[in-house]
Amino acid sequence: MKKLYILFLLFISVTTQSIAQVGENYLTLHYSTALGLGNTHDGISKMSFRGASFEYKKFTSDQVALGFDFNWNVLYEKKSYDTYTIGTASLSGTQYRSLNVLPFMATVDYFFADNDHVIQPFVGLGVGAVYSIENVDMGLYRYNTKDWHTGFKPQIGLWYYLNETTKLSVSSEFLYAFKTSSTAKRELLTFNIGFAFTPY
Amino acid sequence: MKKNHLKIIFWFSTFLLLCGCYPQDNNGYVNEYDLVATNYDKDFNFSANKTYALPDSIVLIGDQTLTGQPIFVDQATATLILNQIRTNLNGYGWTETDSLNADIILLPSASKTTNIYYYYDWSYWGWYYPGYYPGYGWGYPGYAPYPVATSYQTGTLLMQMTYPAGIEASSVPVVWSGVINGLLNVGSTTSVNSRITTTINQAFTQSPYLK
Repeated sequence: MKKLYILFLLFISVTTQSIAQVGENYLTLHYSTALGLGNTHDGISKMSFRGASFEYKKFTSDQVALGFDFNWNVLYEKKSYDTYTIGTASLSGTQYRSLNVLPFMATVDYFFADNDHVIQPFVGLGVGAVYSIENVDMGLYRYNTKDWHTGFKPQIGLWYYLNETTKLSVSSEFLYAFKTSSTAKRELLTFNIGFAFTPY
Repeated sequence: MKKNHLKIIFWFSTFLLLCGCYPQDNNGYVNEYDLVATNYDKDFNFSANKTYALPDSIVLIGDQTLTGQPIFVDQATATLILNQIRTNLNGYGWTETDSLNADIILLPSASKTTNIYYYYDWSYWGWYYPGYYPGYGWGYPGYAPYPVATSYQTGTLLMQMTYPAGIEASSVPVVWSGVINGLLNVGSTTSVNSRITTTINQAFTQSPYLK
């Protein structure tokens, strides 16, 4: 079934006429969900449904686009009452954890089909800076950590033709933000859905 | 830019902003604000020192200047706190005695702080974006939401196990301490007393080395 589906996508992609899109600009707005991975998941294991992304792409050839993007994902979890012990000190209470992850990245995307195809699958890579804000609320107190990381994010996705200027955009990204001297690494898997359109 | 795209951007951005704000649903039950912290001297042999003494009242530490007698926690609350400490220590095999013969003198004290919280929304200044909400033009100061000012009181109970035999010069060794912090003046007396009992029990539950 999966093979049939892939063949169907390829069939749609290759049976439409090609129109060059070199030089075209696209803005993309996504609603973004995210799941923490690794130590990020250890901190907050719940899936996040609070997120957004904004992307700009400029096609430098029929299939290659350069651009930049900005994401914002908010992970949040209320932990049940627990005792946390470090050395001889123990602290009990209910914790509320939130993590804001905001990557700002330069991107390059490779489209497997050009602009005239109904479906345009693509892969991409983003490299840049990631700002993270972590809050741990316990009792009446808040422990707050803010830091800039360097990071990267490979992504896969596809555009689906809606009209001449607008496409439905679906993508998934793996974001990796390197640890800093004071902050742990951040790892997120995001799932995004939105629209890509030519702004003029 | 095309008019349709402007609309898409506006509505989608509004939706995304609603999705992306800080989560604020951590205002649950009042006991979820209660914290219990404990610490101890890992070199102290608790099992060899099992007698204790407790005072009859609990000092209330405030920002007032001390003149004459200190202020004390009301006796009903103090009795509840002292009895709960007593119950836990006895449950761990300790024996209460007078202060001259006790291995440990446990000194509870309490403090309270008033915090003021003031908030106003950006729209208080009238910065609505016109045209997108039916009936909304440019706002004006005083239009809902109104600025909000409120205050809350927090209370802290500090329990310190002092070791009189270890006094050197003017320094009194504290071999165990427990700190309980939470909201004051919220809920009925029964509810407050229940939180006091639960948190004192928790302080001892998370200190099994006192057995």
